[in-house]
Amino acid sequence: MIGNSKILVADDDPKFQKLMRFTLEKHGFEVTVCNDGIEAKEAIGHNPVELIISDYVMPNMDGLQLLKTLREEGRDTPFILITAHGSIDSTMEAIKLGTVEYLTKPFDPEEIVLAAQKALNIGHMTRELSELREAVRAKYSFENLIGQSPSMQEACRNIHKASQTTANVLILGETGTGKELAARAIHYNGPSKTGPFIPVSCSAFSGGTLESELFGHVKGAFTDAYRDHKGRFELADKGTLFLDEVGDVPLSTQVKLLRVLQEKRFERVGGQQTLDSDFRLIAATNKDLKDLVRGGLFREDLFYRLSVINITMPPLRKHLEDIPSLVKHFLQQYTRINKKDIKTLSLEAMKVIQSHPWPGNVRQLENAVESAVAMCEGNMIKLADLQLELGELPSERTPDSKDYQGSLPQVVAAVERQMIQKALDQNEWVKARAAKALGVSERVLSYKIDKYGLGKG
Amino acid sequence: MSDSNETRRTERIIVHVDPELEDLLPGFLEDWKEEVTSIREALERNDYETIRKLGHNMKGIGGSCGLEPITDMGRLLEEAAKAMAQEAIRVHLETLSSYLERVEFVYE
Repeated sequence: MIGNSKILVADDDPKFQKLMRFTLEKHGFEVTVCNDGIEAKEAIGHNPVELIISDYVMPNMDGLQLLKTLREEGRDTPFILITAHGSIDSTMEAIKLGTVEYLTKPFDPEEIVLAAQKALNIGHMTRELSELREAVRAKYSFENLIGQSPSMQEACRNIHKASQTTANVLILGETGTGKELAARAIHYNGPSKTGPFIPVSCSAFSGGTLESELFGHVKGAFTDAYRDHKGRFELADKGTLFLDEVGDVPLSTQVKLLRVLQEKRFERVGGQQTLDSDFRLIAATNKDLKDLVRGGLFREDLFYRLSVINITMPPLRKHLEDIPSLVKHFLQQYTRINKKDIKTLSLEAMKVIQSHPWPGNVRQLENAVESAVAMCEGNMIKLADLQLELGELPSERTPDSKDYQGSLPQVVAAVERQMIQKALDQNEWVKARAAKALGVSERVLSYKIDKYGLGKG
Repeated sequence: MSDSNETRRTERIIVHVDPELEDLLPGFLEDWKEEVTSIREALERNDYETIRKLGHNMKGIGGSCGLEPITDMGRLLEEAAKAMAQEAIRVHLETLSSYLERVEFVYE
């Protein structure tokens, strides 16, 4: 691919043109030569190239002016600037404008071949990166927030509004309602879209490790701190930090969170140096934060700081009318991934899906469709392909008092054990999938498996 | 003494160059000889800009072809032209002209 690349050489010395053409063509490149910047600009306009090699000093328009003009036009073609010895005053400016490399005349012709290969490689990587970024942006476009129901439409409107600002956002909603998807949609359609999106699940870390994860630590800060470690706030510079399960942040860490939100400055754990980070914050929780505030478990000042914009993702049971379009979307997605040719669902299967309570919300629905696609052997998903428990289950019916024998911790433990066993069985004991269906981290699930001594049935 | 100088002026200068340049170098050598004439004519009319430009180009390409003396003489001509130093230009031009007449390429 690189060997056949089109290269434009701009230089007013005919012998240099000949030498460049001869050397580069010998290595399989397709070479166009021009006498100055104006000719080069016109040639590129008619026939785009993958690399420009330009002399700095040329009549009419010099190499630096050519580079500036191209960048102003939005062309990011890799550029190698050639200078004669003693005329490198503008090298720094050229580097700022994105010159991949500059060479000083005279140079060994093989040097230009190596420089061209390097520049073309960088050009290909830059293009790939920009295509990937575009694909990610498309994935999290507003069109992918599916649902015509009033509750989803309202959520979408708020997500859109939030994306147009840099204010802190608090996303509320039950497990599996798409809080992270909403956060990503805000990021990838907002002013920080070219920066990183850094998610962190606050419930996955204990108090001390959460602080180290958020703020980073310096070598020797604690026993296992063998080297300096950048925290998520630092990594989110010029981008978005997504604090999931923010309701699980311990009070001692909440004070530090408040300071970094106010000042955008912090220190690594064990460090003295104050660091700056220009991040946008989106937080999410499935807990009732106001309730936690009332109970003294969440700082009120932090709550107000986080909830400048509030978005509520509705539970699936509140927008059942969106189920057909969600099923269609997941069906298309997983048939493509699994390279299957499944067109639709039987009426019976769809009816069961529509009447299911979906306590795990859209995520559970997605898992069910994924599993059905895997099980399906024809081109239509039938009732038998669905891995849903069709019988009455404790979690799916209205419980009555006889279910609640014993103390509160005993009842909670019994229900928890039953839910975990069911999720593990449904997901063939693939812990990652079971944890996802349950809306807990894999670590939490492993802990609970040990706690209840669960095993394959 | 005079005989010895004469001998040095007519001595062949053998330069070993990359065989891949065999298609280009004979043409370049003729171009440089023509440029010597152009510089001489430019000097007659005090056209230092032409001399500077031709010197600059020689400086840029000589070493790329394995001919460092062309780069060195190009640099001297460029600097002398900037300083409008007629006598220096004449001296460097004679050195260049002599080099171009005596140089022989061995492609290996």
